Amino acid sequence: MAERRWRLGLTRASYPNCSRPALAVTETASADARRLLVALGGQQNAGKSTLFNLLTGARQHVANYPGVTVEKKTGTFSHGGHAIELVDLPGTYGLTSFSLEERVARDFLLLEQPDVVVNVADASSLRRSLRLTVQLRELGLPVVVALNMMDVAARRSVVIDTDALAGHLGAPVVATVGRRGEGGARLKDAIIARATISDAPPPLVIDYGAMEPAVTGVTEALTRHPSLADHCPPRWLATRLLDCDAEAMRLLRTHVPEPDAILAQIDRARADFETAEGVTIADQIASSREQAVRAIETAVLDRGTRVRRTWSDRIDAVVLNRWLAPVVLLGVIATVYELSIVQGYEVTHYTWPVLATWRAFAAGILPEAGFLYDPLLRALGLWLVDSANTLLNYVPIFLILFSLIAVLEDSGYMARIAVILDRLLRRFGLHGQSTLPYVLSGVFAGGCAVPGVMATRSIPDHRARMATILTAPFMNCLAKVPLYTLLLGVYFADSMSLMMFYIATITLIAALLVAKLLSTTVLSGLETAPFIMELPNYQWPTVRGVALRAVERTWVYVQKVGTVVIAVAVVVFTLLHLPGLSQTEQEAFEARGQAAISDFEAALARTPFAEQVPPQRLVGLVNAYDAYRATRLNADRNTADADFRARFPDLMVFVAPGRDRAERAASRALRNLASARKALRREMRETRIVNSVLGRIGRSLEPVTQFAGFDWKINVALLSSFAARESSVATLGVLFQDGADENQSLEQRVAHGAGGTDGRGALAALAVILFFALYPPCLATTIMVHVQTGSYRWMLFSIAFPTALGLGVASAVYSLGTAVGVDAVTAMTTTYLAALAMLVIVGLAGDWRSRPAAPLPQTST
Amino acid sequence: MTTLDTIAPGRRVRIVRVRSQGAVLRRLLDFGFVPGGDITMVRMAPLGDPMTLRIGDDTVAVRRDEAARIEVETHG
Repeated sequence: MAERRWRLGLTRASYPNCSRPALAVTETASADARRLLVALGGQQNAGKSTLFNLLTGARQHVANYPGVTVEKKTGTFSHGGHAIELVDLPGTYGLTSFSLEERVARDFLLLEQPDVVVNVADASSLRRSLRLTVQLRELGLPVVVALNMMDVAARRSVVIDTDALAGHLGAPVVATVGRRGEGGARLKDAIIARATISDAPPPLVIDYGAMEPAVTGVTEALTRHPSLADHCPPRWLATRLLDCDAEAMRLLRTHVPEPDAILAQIDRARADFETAEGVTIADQIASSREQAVRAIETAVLDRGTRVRRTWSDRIDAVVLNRWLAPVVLLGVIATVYELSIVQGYEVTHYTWPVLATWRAFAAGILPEAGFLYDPLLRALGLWLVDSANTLLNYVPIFLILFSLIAVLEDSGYMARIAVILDRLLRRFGLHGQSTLPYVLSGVFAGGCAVPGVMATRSIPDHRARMATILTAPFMNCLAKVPLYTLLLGVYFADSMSLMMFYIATITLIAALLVAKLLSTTVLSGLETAPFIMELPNYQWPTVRGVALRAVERTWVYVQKVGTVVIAVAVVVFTLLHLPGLSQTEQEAFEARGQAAISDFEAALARTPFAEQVPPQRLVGLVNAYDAYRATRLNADRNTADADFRARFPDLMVFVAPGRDRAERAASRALRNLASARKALRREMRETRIVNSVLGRIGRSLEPVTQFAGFDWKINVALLSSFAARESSVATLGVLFQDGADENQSLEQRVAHGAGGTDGRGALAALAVILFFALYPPCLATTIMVHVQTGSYRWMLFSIAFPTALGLGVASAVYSLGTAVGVDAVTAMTTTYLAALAMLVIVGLAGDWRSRPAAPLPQTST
Repeated sequence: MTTLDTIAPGRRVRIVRVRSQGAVLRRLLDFGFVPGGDITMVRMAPLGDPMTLRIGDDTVAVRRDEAARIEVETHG
């Protein structure tokens, strides 16, 4: 690894000692070119992710940096015979070790020592970008500057002399326009050239003015410890140590046997400087660096005619106007809701038949159903296809929703939303940037907490971020809607829209209250950060950028939710089927099945068709008959006829009898047999569920859930919905089967099965709705909570807390409501108003002060 | 001493000192809140906080709590 080590010297003269022998070979023989490690660093909004996509294409891999929850995106590409591994560093404004992201980025640069660091700089905000570039170059890193957003700069008639910039920085500069895919090839050339260079430029030296004697003194002391110089340039380390950088102190202690002498020297130098100059080291470093940055900017940048920002200013004057801001915000939210949720549902009417065709295809290739028992492979296979279909059904909605959110982000409006709502959200321990996770999770009646929890990554304030992660799942998950619709349809048909409004908004109220509760209790010890947010200029989003983001997020949804749901579907299937029917039950069902077959055979014996249906054809015939009925319900009669004819060309009389009495009798016999079989199967399924493990768990929970009015069937439905909310309605469908035969809707059956639509039933339904609204996140979301918090403890908390809260609220409403004897709508109104009152009281209790009192003034002049 | 949170929209001021430390100070410095630097107060957010500032080529939103720690002087 000798060639990867840090060079000692600060001057070009010392470089020949540390040239990279391995690289000298790669220049001539590309066949044994080694793999290059390249880091991609830059500030937020500089276009880092678009450049990452431009360089690597689709070959990406996402994981976490070891031990922390910061996402690490890795990609590979090859260029000029080199295989290159590109690592995306977290977006950072600087390289001090004060935030987690900056620590992670700096550790990676120091420990992994990448061959090249691509620094994405924003040409339209050169000064800010240079603050980071200068720090990277002070660290002596082999930097290639990707000067991005050249189009934006050009539009503002800003001209940047890239050659002069490269000279000042000691790093090649490549102009790029990431969002239009320009400059990728030149950037790759520059990366290879920089990696294979033989005389690398020395670290950048900044003039620290009055602090120079202190810096030089400490640098000299550090240079006496060569093991340190292997890790970073001594001069850089000297400035960090003078600035009391904790990580730098740690580095010193690990690599210097007796650090006390040096530490004492550093303390003395710092104290001497600060008393003599009346300026803190931090301020001196910042202003020296700022001077250097401005000097470079002045030397390389020509502003031309200053027409910059006018458009952004004009738009901001409207969207951030005190009176117009709420109007615009509500308009934008209503538009997103209308286009994604309402119109998205319309789109699913066209995509659902595709999924149904796939199910029919699966049903066709799986082993055929038996008369009473299906082969396990068929039952499980169809169960899995159904589970997958319910999820895939949401894909069009998510594609639209995520595209619109990408438009909001790329245009720059999302940052304005954070500014508009920060004051409100801060009162509840949240952050302006909690808005995006809430929107993704479904603040307005539909979303998914998986991408929502994922989007909390950008919140810099650790406490607010945790509060957001733990409360975003309260939002209205799309999959909760079918259960609401079902129960509202049964019990609240008259006041459906009022109830829907209550449900959609009470979840937000609950989330805000819980966020406040958590951030003042369990989260109170966590690190917070100041709110300093860049408002990027408004830009037209590109189709390419929006599409990439939307597909990426939807794919995460399909991947994460899909794999978890399929896995859990298997578990729930097992729990619903084990231990199965007892021996006596089995025998009883078989006897009844046999009786039905005998009836059929007896009826058929009176017709001339008896010989055409020998026992071995019977099951196939019944299955084909069921398929025929199903097809005729969904499609036209010709298709149904054709399908049936393909299987039993000689038995068409059974489905399409003529006027002949015998033909009609045969058809009737088959219809009777099919419905007898359906009834038997349904009874078997219910017996199986009652006996099943999940059924028993549901029963054993009744003593606890009785206060909320949940019987065992509801318990089973709620338990199975933990896997995926969609399954709650499906499970209820199985449990409330009486009447399915008479073509009663599930609504009617639930009403009938749950003891009518009287007041008590409605209160129980309200309790279920309230519990479901506060219900813990589904399994996929809890896994995402684990990914984002890096802790199983928080994951378990995210399950346990909402369960307790939901059960508490549901029990209180049901028990009190029953005791007082109010009707369900009044109970809901009361609950809602109580929650709203709490929200107002907590909100008015004053801004939540997230920091201790202002620290002692560190003065500077 | 005047602090940044009391400046009216449209006014241009110069930073005198930043009374802060630790992470807050670093973040402010990274965004260019450096003594001697110029800042234009653009507007307050609709709910009265945070405030929008122009610093260099950038537009930055800062909570009033943070702005209260930045001492400024009006241009001479």
